[in-house]
Amino acid sequence: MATSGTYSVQYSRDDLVTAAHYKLGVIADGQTLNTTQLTRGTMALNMSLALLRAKGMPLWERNSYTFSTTSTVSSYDIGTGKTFNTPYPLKLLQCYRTDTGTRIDMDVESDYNFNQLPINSTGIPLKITYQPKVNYGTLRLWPTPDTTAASSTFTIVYQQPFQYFVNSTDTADFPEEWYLPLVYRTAVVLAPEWGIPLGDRNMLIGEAEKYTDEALSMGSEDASLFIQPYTQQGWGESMKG
Amino acid sequence: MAYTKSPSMDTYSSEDIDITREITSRAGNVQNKDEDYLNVFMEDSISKAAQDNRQFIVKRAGSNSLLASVASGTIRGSLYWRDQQRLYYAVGSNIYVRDFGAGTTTTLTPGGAWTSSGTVGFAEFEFNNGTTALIASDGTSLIQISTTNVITFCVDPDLPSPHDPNIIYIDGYILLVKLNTADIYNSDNNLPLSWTAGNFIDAEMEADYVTRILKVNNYVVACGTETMEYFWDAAIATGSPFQRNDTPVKRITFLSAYAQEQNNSYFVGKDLNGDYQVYKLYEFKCDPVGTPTISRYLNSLNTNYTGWTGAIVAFQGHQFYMLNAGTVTYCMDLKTGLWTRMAYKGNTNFNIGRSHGFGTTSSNSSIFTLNDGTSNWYYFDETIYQDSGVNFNCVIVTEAADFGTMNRKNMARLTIVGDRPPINSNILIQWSDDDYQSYNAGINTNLNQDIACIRQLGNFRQRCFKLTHSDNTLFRIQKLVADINKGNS
Repeated sequence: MATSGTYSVQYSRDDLVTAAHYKLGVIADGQTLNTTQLTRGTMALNMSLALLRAKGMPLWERNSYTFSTTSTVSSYDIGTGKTFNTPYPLKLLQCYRTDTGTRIDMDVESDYNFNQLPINSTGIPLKITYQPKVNYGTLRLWPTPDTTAASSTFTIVYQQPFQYFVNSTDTADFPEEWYLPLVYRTAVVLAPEWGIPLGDRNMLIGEAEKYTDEALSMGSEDASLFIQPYTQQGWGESMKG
Repeated sequence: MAYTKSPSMDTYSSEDIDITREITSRAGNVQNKDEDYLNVFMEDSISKAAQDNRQFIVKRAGSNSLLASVASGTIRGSLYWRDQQRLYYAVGSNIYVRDFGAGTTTTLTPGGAWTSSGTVGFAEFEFNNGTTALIASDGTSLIQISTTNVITFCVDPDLPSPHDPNIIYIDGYILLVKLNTADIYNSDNNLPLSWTAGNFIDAEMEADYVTRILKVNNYVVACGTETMEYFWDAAIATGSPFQRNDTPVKRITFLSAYAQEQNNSYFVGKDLNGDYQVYKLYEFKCDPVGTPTISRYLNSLNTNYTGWTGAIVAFQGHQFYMLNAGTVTYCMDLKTGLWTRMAYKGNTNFNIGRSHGFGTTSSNSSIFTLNDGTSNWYYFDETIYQDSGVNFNCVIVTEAADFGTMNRKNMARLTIVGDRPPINSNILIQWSDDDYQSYNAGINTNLNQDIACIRQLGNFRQRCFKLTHSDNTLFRIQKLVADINKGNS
């Protein structure tokens, strides 16, 4: 006996949609989904996939983007076709500035805190905030970059959106531990359309959540977590009055 | 039982699918919709004493060659002479005699005015000295065939001609109908080749011609173009010895597909309203025994009904009336009165021509011919489930089952409750969820296993199943059991 030596398996969009229908028990052995069923199944798959944006911070979708600033311009739209033409961030995780080989950590501020900063300040940006919008987002820097900032580059680390399924042969933009959650969560979305009895739907929801939680447990870094006082001027200081 | 504020309803259940129905078709020219049964019949196992009321669908017996074709051409007429163990059948201008006792075949050529096409009728004749002979008619000539196969022509100028060749024997007379008249002629008593000009009786209760005469018990029934009248041998000394019985007259038209079993006659006819129907004529009654499905089919044919054939066959302990018309052969179990369809080999129908109950001291079965331009004879063989070495399909199509709700349902398993064959034998299970418009490719399952079933049958609202079995082995099925899960919309 020998192991396969294979460490990767890829399932297509249609594989996953068909599997979801099998979980519902609505297609028969050997039956193939018709065009309408595939279309509706793909919609359910993409909808359930979109909802997974709300679940945690998937490591495989962590991405970085490096940009330079324009003097006197503090706000930049980011997204496909925008000023920064790249898939837009769902969440901004980190930002650092690189000045002649030196990386300087920048503060990622909430919108609330960012709005408390003095206006009309210019210089080399120290803080950044991100406002996600529909299919794009806006990065704002403080202070507003001046000509000296042009020699610096800024790198953001962010969570990018999952890629949707479009073509029948598209594979998942997910690691393989996510196949079961994807299939079951799609089945949950499809269940009302097929009139699955309430008891079975509840069971299905439970299984989908179970598999999702198990997959999510793979989504954290194997690194230590440090908790320490916030020492910089900011929200904590302002609360002191 | 404890009170609960959260009652639940179990949506899972095992449901029986009754397959013991009757062939049905919603329209005459629409085949393959609704319940269908091909090459099977229903068998009741009703025993009050044993409280057994099971019902089965049973695959029909196969058939094998009895006699090779002696000449091309349709068999014009035939008779199995049980006393002599001889089969007489007319093909072309000859009459062939198969002597099963001697194992020989003799060719008789009447010659003379004997025709070479058209129907030939046969009747056994017993003389008052105890000897017997065969009388045969081609519609114009009448011949006598002795037990030594000597042919004697009727040369009596009073022989009605032309006449319907379907002659009958009763009480020492040969009876026949002169064409385009209402006259039923009888031969002279004990003299089948001797005829007297005035020896006939008219079926004149209604003013229609007689097209054929039948024998029912000790009555002769004159089938007219509109009516049926009963006559009996009243031993009247002059003219015809027969007399009409007025009471049982029928306003029914005999058309074709005649076959006789015991004292019962089966045929296609129509009433005065013009709807085709299969009738059973017995005693003084003539009852419709067909179904609306068969009437609709016959109505839709728009073909000459003279080409429709009927036959009585027997196998597996059942007797059947087979009606072959157009491209379909319907078959009625004479015991249950239920109709199915039959098809020979891979054909669409069982184009049966003639049939006889065949019996020797060592065997007993039904023999038959096909309207296929040959003079082959076949016999039903209960030891095989092939027609002359070729597998045939037996098909069962169920009604559309909704299991009490039109909500969507999932089916996890379909189990066949039937006999386990001694050999591996697959059955193909297909289903249609769109009212018989289309079937899936189906799934095969081996009947020779612990539980013959298929799984993962998907979702449906209404579903009809088609079962197809074609192996050379007995197939007997009682019901289907579906494991389903009822949905909520």
